[in-house]
Amino acid sequence: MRIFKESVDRKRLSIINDMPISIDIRQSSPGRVRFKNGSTSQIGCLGCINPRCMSFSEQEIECDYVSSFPCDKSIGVCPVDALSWDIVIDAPTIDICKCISCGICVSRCPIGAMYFSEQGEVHINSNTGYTEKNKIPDSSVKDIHLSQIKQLIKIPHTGILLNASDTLFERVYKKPLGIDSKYHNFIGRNLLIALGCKCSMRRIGDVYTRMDAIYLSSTGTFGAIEIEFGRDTLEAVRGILDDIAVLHTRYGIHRNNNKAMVICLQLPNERQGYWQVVKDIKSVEKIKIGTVTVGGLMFLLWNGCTLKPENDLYYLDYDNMDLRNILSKETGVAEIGLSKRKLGIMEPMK
Amino acid sequence: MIRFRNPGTQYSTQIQVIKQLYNALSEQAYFTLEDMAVVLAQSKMMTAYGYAGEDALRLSNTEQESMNSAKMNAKMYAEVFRMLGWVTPYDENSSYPLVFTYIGIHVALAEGDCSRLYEQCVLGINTPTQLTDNLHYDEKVRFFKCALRSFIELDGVMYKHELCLGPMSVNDEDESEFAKMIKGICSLRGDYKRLKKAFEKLADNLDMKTTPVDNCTRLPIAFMKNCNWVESVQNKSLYGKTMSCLRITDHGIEIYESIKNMYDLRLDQYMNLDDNTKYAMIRLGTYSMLMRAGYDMSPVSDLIATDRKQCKNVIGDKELLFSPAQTIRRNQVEYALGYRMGKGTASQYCIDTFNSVVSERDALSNTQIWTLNLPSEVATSLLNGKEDADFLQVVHEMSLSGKNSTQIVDALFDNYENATQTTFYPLIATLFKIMGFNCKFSRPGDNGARWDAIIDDHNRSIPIEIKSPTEEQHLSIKAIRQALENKIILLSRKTHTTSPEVSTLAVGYYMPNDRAEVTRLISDFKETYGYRIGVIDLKSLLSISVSILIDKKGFEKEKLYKLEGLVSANI
Repeated sequence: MRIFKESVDRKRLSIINDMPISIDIRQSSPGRVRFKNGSTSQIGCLGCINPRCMSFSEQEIECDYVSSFPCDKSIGVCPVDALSWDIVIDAPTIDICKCISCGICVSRCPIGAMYFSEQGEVHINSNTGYTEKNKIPDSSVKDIHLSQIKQLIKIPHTGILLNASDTLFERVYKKPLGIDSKYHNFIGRNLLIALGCKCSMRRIGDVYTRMDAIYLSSTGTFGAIEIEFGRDTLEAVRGILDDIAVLHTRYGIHRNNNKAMVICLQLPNERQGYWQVVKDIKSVEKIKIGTVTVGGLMFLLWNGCTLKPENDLYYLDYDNMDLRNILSKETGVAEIGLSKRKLGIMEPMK
Repeated sequence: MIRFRNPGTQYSTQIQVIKQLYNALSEQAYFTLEDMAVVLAQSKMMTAYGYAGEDALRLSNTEQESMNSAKMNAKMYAEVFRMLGWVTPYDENSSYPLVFTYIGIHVALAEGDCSRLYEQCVLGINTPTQLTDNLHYDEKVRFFKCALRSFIELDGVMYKHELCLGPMSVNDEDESEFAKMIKGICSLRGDYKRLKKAFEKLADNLDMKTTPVDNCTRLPIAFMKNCNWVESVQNKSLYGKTMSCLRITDHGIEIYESIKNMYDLRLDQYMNLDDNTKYAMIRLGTYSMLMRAGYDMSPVSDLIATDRKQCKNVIGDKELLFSPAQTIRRNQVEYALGYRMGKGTASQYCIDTFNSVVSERDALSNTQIWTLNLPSEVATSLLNGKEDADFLQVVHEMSLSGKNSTQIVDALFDNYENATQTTFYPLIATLFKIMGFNCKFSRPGDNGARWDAIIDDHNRSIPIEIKSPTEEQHLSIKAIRQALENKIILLSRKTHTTSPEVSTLAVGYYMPNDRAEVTRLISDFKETYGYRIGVIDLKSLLSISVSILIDKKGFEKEKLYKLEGLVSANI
């Protein structure tokens, strides 16, 4: 039986003439690659085979800490289906109406060809300076291409993808605030993966696996995740207690080894029961539930950080609802350019 | 009207499942629902009762097929994959077992995003076919092409019930019938009552209730959303009230524009062709689908050109819109495409090799029964509220009217079927007070009070989570979670004296539907946090109270402090 091939194989493959030693990421322009001889340049989209901006690897979406976890196997990087591959130009293309400016795809580009405008729109540099794009993709060229991509991922990427500001977050948050609930878990999972965690998400429609996701940080911290975009954050806390129990009894993960977290779009208001209940749970059960916002995770990603929830770093409760301080320390950004209480991202709105 | 069943609708899950199935079953001559169920479970694509993998199979392995969730899950995917033309019956005379189709194999082996091929398969859905016997409808329609056209002709927006009244109930080959259908929908617009009436009439004509007719829209809407042809919008202009409607996207319009002039071959026309043209149409239809989906068909370009010549008399210079795997039986398709499925090893998976633990699961559903045989007096000192007096009066009157205690319980139970929090919370408090527990209820909506009622005891206070029948008739996992939270809050805030060993309660109108899952969660909570959670339904509480009031017999009160799991009490 003849099985046909999808025409996703590149017509041409890009090979870099000279391997850079670092890439300076910046807002409003493509990343600038630096070579050994001190010269710099901007390199356009390489049209990678297996583009990292489009797909995660299977290892990234499977949190092997719990091998039997029935996870969703979608590998798409864009959590809101805004990214697709244009087979005519051999490069990704963004639907800006759908894009939520999370920066996951931008952060994964090995050459810094994807970048944000000041308004938070994703752009792709198609200028092919310092590359040969006309190589016919025979197997030796493919091998070189793949090996170069591997090297590029490893070289230091420094700089900031996007600077936070009130205007920017107002624009960015407009979409997630009204987005279809089917995207909520994808946004949470994909941000965690982009922040260096392995993360498995419950399959949509699986009513028996109750936790939204599980994660394993790059430094070995494991936990259950509840993702809440609405106002029912108390239900998320109850969900976490349920998750810890189910993982404890059915998957053999001791409750003390479960650093569970709630990912919410906005921090609950100060007077909401959430904060007091989180404190009650710590006081009675010695379980510290972490709380982080989607905007907070984006901010970490834009600043080139990974998520390190060690030592209950993201534990917030009635006595301390300040995420700003934690993120400031983690990113080294002394003054986060987002006003106090704005959108409930760093502190509760009210 | 076309009846779309309501199976798994998530695109990503459908793709994951077909890939797993092909990976595991492609060497077999054919595969059964049991093969599918085992593969789905082993690849963690199916969960049952909180477990994945083989545990899920053991938990769902029951002789009663319709109760075997693993098999039902497999059947659901089999139906949707058959509709998409990814699998087809092995034998002409029965629906199962199945084999993969040529297109199904391409989907399963796709390395990249196969959304374009998926889109072609959705467009391929048409009726009638050789593969769909015993249908309750006789519409001749390529539904999704017809639906896209309907959207365009109806200003881009449709309400889901218009799909039922429109493209799901029309023969789209008949232009005048299509035009009449569009006109009919236009005439309904502007008045929601007209739409409602028309929809009810449709359901009536189909001899169905309106809800199952409404359910028939789920799968087509999901398909159209998966293909990014439509999106949900709130619309007030169609029927003068805000309704969740569907709007065709630019991509949806683009797709319709790309197919509208194609030669749309249907079963009736196909059957009238000579054999050589039939085979050419099969190849041309299949290869055209792959080509439109972005596959490199250059290796067969000569064959395509020859087949195009063969079909020219029928289709002219038009592109062909025809999905053989979704229209005709596999023998003809396989012959034309030059391959043969149905060869390979025998079916190898059997659910029975996974020892059933259904009985263990069923055992979890058991509730403990409290017998009401201890002499008891009514704790009158606690019953000093107006609602207490009112309840006692009602029971007294029923008793005077000659009702025995069982009849009183039944009557009271029925009376509270539609009770809201405002009447249900005080009722529960009254019932506990009759039993001798100093129970206080919280005012509904009081966010400061974390529990709905509490048994205020010197040393062993018990928080109570109450679900009124208007919130949820059957207690759910949600109530159990809240009962746990209540216990933790009480221990933390110490507003009443208690200790970790004392139970926390959940009370509802009916016992949970999924008793096994609730019991399992209660046991998980006990093992993880060490707290006992007890569950009681209204009928049991009424039975105990009426028994004390009328028959002067009650239960061993001490049991309540240590209650864990589900409990019933009958007079």
